[in-house]
Amino acid sequence: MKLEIERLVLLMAGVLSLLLVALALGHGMAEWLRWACLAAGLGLVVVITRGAGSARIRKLRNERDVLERYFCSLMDSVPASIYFKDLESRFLQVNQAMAEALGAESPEAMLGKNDTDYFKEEHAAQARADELKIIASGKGIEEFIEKETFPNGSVGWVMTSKLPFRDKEGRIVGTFGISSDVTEMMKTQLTLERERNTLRTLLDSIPDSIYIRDFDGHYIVVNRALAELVGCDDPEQVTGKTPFDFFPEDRARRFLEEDQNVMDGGKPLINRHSSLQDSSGSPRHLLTTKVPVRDSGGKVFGIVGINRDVTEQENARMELRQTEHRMQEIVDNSPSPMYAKSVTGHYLMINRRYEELFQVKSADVIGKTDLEVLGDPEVVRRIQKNDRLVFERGEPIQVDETLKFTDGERDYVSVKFPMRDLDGGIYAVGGISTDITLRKKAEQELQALNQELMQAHENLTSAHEQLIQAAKMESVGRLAAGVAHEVKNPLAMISMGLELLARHLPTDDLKAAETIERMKRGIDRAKKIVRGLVDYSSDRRLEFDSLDPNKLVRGALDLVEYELTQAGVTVVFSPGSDLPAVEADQTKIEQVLLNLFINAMHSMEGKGDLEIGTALVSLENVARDEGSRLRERLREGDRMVRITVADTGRGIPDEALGKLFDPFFTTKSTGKGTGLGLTVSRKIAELHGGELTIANRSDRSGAVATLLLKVDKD
Amino acid sequence: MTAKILLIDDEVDFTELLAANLEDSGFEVRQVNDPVQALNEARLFHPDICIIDLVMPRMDGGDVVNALRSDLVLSATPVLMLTALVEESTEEPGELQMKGGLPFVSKTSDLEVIINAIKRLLGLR
Repeated sequence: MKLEIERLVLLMAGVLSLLLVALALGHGMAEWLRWACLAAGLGLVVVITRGAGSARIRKLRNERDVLERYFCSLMDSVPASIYFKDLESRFLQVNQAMAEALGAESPEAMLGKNDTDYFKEEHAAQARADELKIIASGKGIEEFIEKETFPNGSVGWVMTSKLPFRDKEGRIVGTFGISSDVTEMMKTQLTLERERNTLRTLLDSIPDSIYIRDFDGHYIVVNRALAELVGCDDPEQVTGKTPFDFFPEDRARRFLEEDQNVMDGGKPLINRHSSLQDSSGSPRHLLTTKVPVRDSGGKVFGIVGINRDVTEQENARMELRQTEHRMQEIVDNSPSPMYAKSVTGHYLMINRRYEELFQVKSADVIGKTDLEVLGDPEVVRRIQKNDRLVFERGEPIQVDETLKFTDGERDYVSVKFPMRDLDGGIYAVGGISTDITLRKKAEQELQALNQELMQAHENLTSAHEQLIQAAKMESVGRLAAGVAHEVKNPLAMISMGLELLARHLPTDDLKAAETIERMKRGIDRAKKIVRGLVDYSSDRRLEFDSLDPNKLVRGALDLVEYELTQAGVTVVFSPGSDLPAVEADQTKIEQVLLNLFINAMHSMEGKGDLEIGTALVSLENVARDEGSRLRERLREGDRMVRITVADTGRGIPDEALGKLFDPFFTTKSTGKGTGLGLTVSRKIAELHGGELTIANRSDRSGAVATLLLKVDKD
Repeated sequence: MTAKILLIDDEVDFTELLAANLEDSGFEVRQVNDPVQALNEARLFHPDICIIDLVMPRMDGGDVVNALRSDLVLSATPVLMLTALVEESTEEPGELQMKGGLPFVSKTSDLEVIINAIKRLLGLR
């Protein structure tokens, strides 16, 4: 209201002054009046103007106050440093923050000073150069960030904008600037950048392919491994593209469908195995994990995918499986049952043969103990004893095991060995059992066969020897008859000559007489040999009688009793009782017995026992070595009388045993035997259908001759 | 009276020696070394006994015996067969081995055995 009145008064005063001025400008008035009017009018104008002016001024002052308040509060409270400089770069205005930042007492203290007062020379020079550029160009430098060392010595970052300061007319009168301490921000940014780089490096260093795909399937983030997987050098070449750019269509579609499922369900896909060909066409095995990624608002905008390349592992795994499979095939096709048992006695594995043998399934056996599998505690005890032995010794052992099955016992030779882990610790005992039942049987059969063969060979050798012997005998026989006659004639002649000489020699010539005697003894020897040959070759028919074997022995003993006694031999005759009669030629059998007695006497060299026995035997009781030749002529069960003549002499040397019955073989000193006694004796025994054999006593205390004679059947 | 012995054997050396021995023992001995001549010699000599070898060439002892037996005078003359073919007797001295009805003595027998045989056959013992 006051203003309105004031304006009304001013309006009226204006009008009055205008009238006065108009009057003054008129010509009808006195000069003085005109001046007066002019003066009054002007005075009024001045009053009006002043009145109006003071109102505006008041208003302006008001506005300026407001602005100044704004400005001041801005200047004082903004955390940024603000300054105004004149063209000489002297401070015109500085705010509180700046004063504080530069360590000045107050903003006012800084007025009229310049950067050199507060900064290092080079900084001040740089600032001055910037400002001159701004003054010259009229263009500001906005928001540049520079590193700054603060007066307190700390180094930080400031973001500065410098602009030209113009007056009302737009003339550049200086510069002003605003600087904020962005050290914290810069630090954060640097940290972020470093983190980002670290992450990037990490991402690119990871051998797994890592990517983030958005909702539409575009790659947003891709690491180097993925770039390489799809055949690009730089991850940048992949970002923004989709799987369709790198994979066959159906595969790419499948990827995206999978992405979609993950995004829809919000659930991650973990380690899905897949194989694909990389850009070079090599097959790669991947384990894919996809996880939905959300923005800060929690909204799913894509997936992060990780493809772990497990090609090497997969190849190794396949190789291992192949090797394992191969080993398993070998193990399963082995005809020997195999198994491994842990230190606690629980089965770790068995092979197919084991399954078949014990009629169990691998799955049922593994984790079980022997007792649970085999049942028989006695068998289990034996097995476990051997297992323990392996653990104790730490080296393989070989054992024979016999196992009972429904179809009988089977023999095994088992190799049991410690199984060691890679550190060398024993964790199990392994076993391989080889069925040797057949082998054992075959071995036994072979042994039996061998024995038979040996027997056959022995028989053959014996038969061969007999044949040779027979042939020898035959030729000796033929020879003997001829020789006997031819030798006997000259012998007779010499004999006659000696008789004659003996009588015609001077009776006192003792030397000649002794010579004659020696010659006669020589003739006697020759005659004996001829006699033996003739006996042997004689085809004279035997004159068989039915004779009591004991009497036969006694008769023969009587003939040599004197000689035996003289030689210091003790005769022990043990006659068998109730012996049947034998069919024999008494003279010939006596000759045989005499021969045996004389041989025994000679072998005992003057002292010992001559043990004679008679007994009835049937052929099956005749030991093998007594009877091989016998069997050809006699049947089992035939009854024979056995006459044994045993001595306690030297026995017969092994090398002589096979030659005893050979003609002219003798162990006696020259002249003592003819070498035909036993040859003839055996011939006689054989002509009787009997047998004469000679062997050493089992204890080597002498020799035993055994004469077998047929029982007289009449 | 000295007994006359006719020795019939193709072995000259043997008959000479045997004859010498027999003569030493007091016999009159004549030798015939060719059996074919034996009968003639016997007829001329009239032996008390003939000692005849069994194995001889051209004519063996058996043939000689047969020839002697066929002679009326000589058929009663005792003969003693002396041969290397028979074994020396193991029997008691004095017992004569008989083969085919003829007494035999081995050529290799001791002289004593032969003389005993001769004496037996001559009935001198």
